[in-house]
Amino acid sequence: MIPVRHLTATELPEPDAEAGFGTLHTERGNLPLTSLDIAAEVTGPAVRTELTQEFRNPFDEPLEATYIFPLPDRAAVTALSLRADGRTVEGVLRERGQARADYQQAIAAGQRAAIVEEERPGVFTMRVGNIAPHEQVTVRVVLAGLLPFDDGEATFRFPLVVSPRYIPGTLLAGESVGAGTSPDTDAVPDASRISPPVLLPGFPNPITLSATVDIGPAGLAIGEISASLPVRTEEHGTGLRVRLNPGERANQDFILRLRLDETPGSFAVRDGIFALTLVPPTEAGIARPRDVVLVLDRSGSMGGWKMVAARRAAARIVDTLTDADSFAVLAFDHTVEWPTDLPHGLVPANDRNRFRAVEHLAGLAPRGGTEMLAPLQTAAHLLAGRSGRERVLVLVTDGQVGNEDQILQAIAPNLTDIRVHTVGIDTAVNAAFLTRLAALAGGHSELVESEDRLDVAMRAIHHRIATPLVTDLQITGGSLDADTVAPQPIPDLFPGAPLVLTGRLTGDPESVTVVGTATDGSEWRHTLTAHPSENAALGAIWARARIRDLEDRYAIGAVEASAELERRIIATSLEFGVLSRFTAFVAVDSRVVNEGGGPRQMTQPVDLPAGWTPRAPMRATAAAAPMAVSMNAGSFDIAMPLSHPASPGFAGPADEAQVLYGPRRERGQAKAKRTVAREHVQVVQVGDYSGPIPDSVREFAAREKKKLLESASLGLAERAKALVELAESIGEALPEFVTAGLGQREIVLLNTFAAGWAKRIGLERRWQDALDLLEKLIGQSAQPEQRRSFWKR
Amino acid sequence: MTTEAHWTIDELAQLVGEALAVDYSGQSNGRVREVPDRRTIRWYTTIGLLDRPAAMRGRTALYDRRHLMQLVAVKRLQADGRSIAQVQEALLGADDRTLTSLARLPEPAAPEPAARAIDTAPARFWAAHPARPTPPRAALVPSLRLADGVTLVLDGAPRQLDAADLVAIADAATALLNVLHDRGLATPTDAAPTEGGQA
Repeated sequence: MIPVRHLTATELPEPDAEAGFGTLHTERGNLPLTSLDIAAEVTGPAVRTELTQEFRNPFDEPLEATYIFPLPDRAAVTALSLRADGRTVEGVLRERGQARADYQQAIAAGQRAAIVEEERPGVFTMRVGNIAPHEQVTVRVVLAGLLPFDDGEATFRFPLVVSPRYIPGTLLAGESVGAGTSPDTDAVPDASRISPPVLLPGFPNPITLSATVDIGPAGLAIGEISASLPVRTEEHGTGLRVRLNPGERANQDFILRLRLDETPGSFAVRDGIFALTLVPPTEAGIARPRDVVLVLDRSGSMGGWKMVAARRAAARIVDTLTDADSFAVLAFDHTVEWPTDLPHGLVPANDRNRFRAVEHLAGLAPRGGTEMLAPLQTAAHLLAGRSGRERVLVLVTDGQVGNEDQILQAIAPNLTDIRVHTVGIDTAVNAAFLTRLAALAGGHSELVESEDRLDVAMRAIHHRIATPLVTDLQITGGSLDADTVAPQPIPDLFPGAPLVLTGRLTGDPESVTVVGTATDGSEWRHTLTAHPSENAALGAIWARARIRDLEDRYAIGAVEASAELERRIIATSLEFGVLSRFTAFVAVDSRVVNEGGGPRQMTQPVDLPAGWTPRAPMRATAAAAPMAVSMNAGSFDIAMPLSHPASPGFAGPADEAQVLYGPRRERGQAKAKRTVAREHVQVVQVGDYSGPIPDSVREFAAREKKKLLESASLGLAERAKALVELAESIGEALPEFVTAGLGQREIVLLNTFAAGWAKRIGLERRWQDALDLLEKLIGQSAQPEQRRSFWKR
Repeated sequence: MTTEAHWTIDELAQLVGEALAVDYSGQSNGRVREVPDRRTIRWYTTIGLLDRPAAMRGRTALYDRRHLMQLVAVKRLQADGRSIAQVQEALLGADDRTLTSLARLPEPAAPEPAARAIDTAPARFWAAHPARPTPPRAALVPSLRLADGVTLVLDGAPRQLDAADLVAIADAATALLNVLHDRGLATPTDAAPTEGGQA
């Protein structure tokens, strides 16, 4: 996060005319989306946002553009408008099938039209059709929401890109249901609707991104703003305007954190809707002994800083446990892995076990797919039946899976009396899924977009997995329709996290009383007096929260209940004009611009999220190889075998690998003669060393060589162990080597060594290869003539 | 189900190979000469170089002439020494005219695709529930004894093993057997000579 300095008017730089909103950039190629603009107004905890998307048809024929895009998961979409050729058309909200039919009919009739549909609580699809040749059209989406508020800080989070997701399951027969790139599967029947094409790094910024957030003066402590992207602030009326600097890419969440004065509890009413804010008691509760299962995502998408942050978060959580607690640590990709030095199961959280767990965490490197359900089921199974203790499951992940509904549906029945907290780590995290999972099981979701943010979040992390201060909350009296309270079930009160409940009123209450149970078992009672709300969007905000509850019940519940839930979702959605899974906004311009109908179709490609490395593609055989013993930080995706078996888009094909790994072997080589080891040697043909070896690397190599030689006379097992330790040391030291300026080729070689290559051939040969490698780094070769370097074999 | 003219992914790959064989100026780089395999084709879809399939018949993706031009254009640009990122820059959103000039498809043009029945997308996909994950059912799977006490179970293999498989796997297994022996996890055999030298 970047602390924001408040500039005076004279300090403000002139807006960049070249990079401003709406500038045409013809050199950007033929992508339909030209700009995104976010204009938000924050008033206390309420926020109203207008998202403007501009599309331009670069072709000589009419175009239908499809854009798969994210929105804040808690926000209500309340309006859509379409502007083209001097006229603005307001969208109408209809049942989804009807809206799609209306849209299709308009496109076939040659009219301009736009439709926005919800694929997930955070993922949407915009289609804009019959854009005339070289014409520019503008669509605008209006959102209403409340800013989440924790530890005195409100968070404005606006996602800008839908990240690639892991798609499990078997392929479905039949035409895809969407315009994205992943085929639909039985686990993710709409995978093709959440998978936009991905731009490779180096592609020129395809869109102009702009954002302004106006912050009303209410409760804001000036100067206490931090942002995930570079911004500047200026006076705006009685408040502040925060403006995103021009030139940023839409490849991560735009986050502003605002320090606000302590919110008092309140009971605001307006037009038959209430919003109830409950503040947790400040006195500490009595902690119960806990059983904690920590589930850590170490899949391939967790590469780079994310893996480091995940390990840090997990290690810190383990450190907050006490001797009275017990715990287990599970790491998963497509398999579930236990710490090697700990028994499988819950163990006492004594110092020794905590240390072993933390040590194990330190060695985790990213790899493989994201089969999230199995570890969650294992964790739930471990915690089941441990009565009298606080049962806690903590999931640390980026949440980049496509089978959210399948996971929730399968895990929900097993989470009785288990609290699930989620720690989301990514620049473009799947916030919707992580908040849904936590809310389902009475927990809290903490989202971390950088290591700096983790520093801050760590200070409060013990709050996050602490015992709640007040449980079993119920609202009594005050003409409230208890069935309509959202979210449901009513969450517990945690330290530092005020709770906002919304619902419908049946009368005109003067006050409301909330009753709950404190940690010592006594009754906690709180009465609040009603006051009129100033938030005109209160109805929409309640409707969205309500629809989310119903959508989750639809996803989790029995199929038999589906029809009734769908009916209720549609009714609430249409009554309050709020988008849902079963409705869509459609806008149709009556003018005919494409007599023949049938426009050309194109799906907007999007950036890879910031901090992601395109997975270096390798051959399938290499991808199946075991991963690094201890490859630090995953910052060496360049040599990382990747496997996302069910997600064909993730792993690039073999021929792309040659860009990184040198020439491809000839085809037709007798396949039966190729051993696994050969396969790897082929892949790492990178030629000779490229540059001078930095001194620190030279010293490292000398040290390691000495160690290796010291164990030369020992038995096979000890020597094998020495090689494994060498691989681990190299893995740990690689980031420093990069900083020290070691050449790319050496890094690839070292990384390949660390990643386990060295363990695949006979001990004598790998022993010699290790010495060979170290000697090359030291700058001397013992017997240069006798043997070709191993990478040339 | 309706009927339209399309190629399967294998037919498409073959046509790409035939197109590249004619008027192929690339010479330097062996890799770009190769016909893209299925995995490559799917990856190109992910990064937008290839439109998604024109239609589906069951689980079979079907492609048309525009896909052929896109793939040939990718290969020709690569043959000119462009990186895949540069190819993406050049080809994303390319119209048919651009593709035609880049692809330089030989005359006469590729054969007309066969007429095939295609499926329509399911209606009301947004109401669909994902499949419930099922526990694995009992099934026969291929397995293979590499050495005494070391058996390889291939529970993802789509077919039984043939003689060529056995030779290739036995060859590849040598290194693994060495490791297992090194670590005292398997008895050495003739198939896996080790430094220990025991017979």
